[in-house]
Amino acid sequence: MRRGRTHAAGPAIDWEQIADGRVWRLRRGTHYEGSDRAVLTAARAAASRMGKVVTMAREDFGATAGYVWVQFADAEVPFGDPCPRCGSTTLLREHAGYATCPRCAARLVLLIDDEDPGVVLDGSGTDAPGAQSQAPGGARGNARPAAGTARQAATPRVTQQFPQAHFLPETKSIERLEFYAEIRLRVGSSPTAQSAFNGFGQARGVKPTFLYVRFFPAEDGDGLGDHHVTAIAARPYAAALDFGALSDWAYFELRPLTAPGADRLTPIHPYYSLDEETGIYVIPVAGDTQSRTPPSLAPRDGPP
Amino acid sequence: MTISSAGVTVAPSSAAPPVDAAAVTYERPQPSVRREVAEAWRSRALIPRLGARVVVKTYVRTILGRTWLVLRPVMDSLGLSLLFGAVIGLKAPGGTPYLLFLLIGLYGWRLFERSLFWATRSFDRYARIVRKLNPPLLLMPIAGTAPAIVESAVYAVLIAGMLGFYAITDGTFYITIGPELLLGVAGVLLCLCFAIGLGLVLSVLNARARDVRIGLRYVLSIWFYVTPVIYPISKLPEGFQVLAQVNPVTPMIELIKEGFLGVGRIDPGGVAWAVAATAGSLAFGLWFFSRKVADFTTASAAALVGGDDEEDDGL
Repeated sequence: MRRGRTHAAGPAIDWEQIADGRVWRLRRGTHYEGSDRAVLTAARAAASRMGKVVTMAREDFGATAGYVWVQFADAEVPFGDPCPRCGSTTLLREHAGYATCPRCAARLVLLIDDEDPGVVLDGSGTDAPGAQSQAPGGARGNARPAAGTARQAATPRVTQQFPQAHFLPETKSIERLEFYAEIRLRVGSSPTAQSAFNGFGQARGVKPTFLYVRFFPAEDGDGLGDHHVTAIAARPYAAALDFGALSDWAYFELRPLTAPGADRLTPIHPYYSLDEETGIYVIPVAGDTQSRTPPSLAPRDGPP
Repeated sequence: MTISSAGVTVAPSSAAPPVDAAAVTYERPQPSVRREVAEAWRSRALIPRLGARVVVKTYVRTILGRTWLVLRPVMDSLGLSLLFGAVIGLKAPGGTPYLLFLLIGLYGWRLFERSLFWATRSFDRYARIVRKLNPPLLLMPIAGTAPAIVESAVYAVLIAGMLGFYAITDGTFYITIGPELLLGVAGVLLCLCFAIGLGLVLSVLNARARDVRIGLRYVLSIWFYVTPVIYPISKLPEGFQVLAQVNPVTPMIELIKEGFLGVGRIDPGGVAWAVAATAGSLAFGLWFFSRKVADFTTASAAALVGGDDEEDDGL
């Protein structure tokens, strides 16, 4: 990493060098100037460009110091899903939020649902009473001990559950629209450059969620710089709310700036454009980040 | 996902590849001292950065800021000197000024005590990083000793200042210049390594129950007074002098006193015991840490490391 350089216009960091899987510290005044948020955005864009994911922890000690700790990984995967690279169904869980694929050595960030129970592996190789009944199911129900198999006799067992709602990492994509699918958003008042959006989306294969999205202008004041999602699980309110009302909300999708079809986008807001062909409202994002929106879902409504 | 007025039904993720439900098994890495050390070594460049972070964090939101780095040792040594030197009338051997004798003893003791204290609290202090990222956890108790090392450096500056002061006022330069200095350096290294060895164990235990760090304060207070820091070991009755050598920190402090001031009492058996205790604590600490730290691989790690690394800065 280029050390000792300062850049008034924003971070100029050799992301390829620090994307080695280790934790790196970026220091305000040394590796970047200005807002930490610009570093977060740049790191995400760099990760997307390299086909990786990045997790970050930001620390602001006021005038004393400011740090952004970053760590790149090869991919992210919902807890309970197999390795997205090779499909291995055995993962080495090194950390509550990280795993390594023993087959292809991919370093994975685990996306953990706050409603799913966690697991503790005792590593004893013996069946624990009630292990199978305690296996995590959750919404996906695709992580459990393979009790009774010959292979499992030599591998650790799932023996306990722990709630892990408090473990959702703030800086992971849970705060990003890219994490969600089937995004429907609406603006409460006249759209402006500083608009905040209310919305509804589904975290990827995990849960329906109310979204409150704040957009931040780019450093140069031109268009979208970054956004931040505050999410509330919708499931507890499912019986009390009419989700059919969502049909009145506009359908949004995140697309990279370089995605095909950019020519048919009509800018109608500083932060989003209208795809004239599909009627989908498109939020441009840096890099190659793709929305997880299912392509089969068509927009149903007009602009918010 | 199907959305209707009746409720919400969640289907498997459309982004994830279709998988056989219930197929994924998460295995825990086998405990390995070699792997822990190798991973820590690979990321050794993080140690000063993590150390600087915890020093900065300790004094953030204070008005005096880093001035506390100097104020604390000054007030600590002046207070103890006033009480035990002026009021109680303790004398240092060999005509050495008591304040200088005290500063040398405190230099070694505070390095040990504060290193152990901060290493024990390391997962509290680094909770934010440990929760969000996946650094080698072995680095945490090691880097956590940074405030203690900085504080010891301040003691060293104070000692240098007092040596200069007495050289001018008494015309005597009390420090020993020669190969004896190596004894002092050995004592300092033993203090630090012993603290890290114990800290490896206590940091993991403290992550499970904060009783450890609360109890540690009292244990260290007692330990301070049974270690000949503020008094020369010769002041103890003969039988207690032998007993004092059971405390592995005693030979370390005596090495420092003898190495720097020539006023320590070195017992070869005691030094051998101190070296063995340090090596043993490091070996056991690494073994214990590598086995118990695997608990951090689970979701309960968030609970283990605590939810707040802001409180109780240890000032």
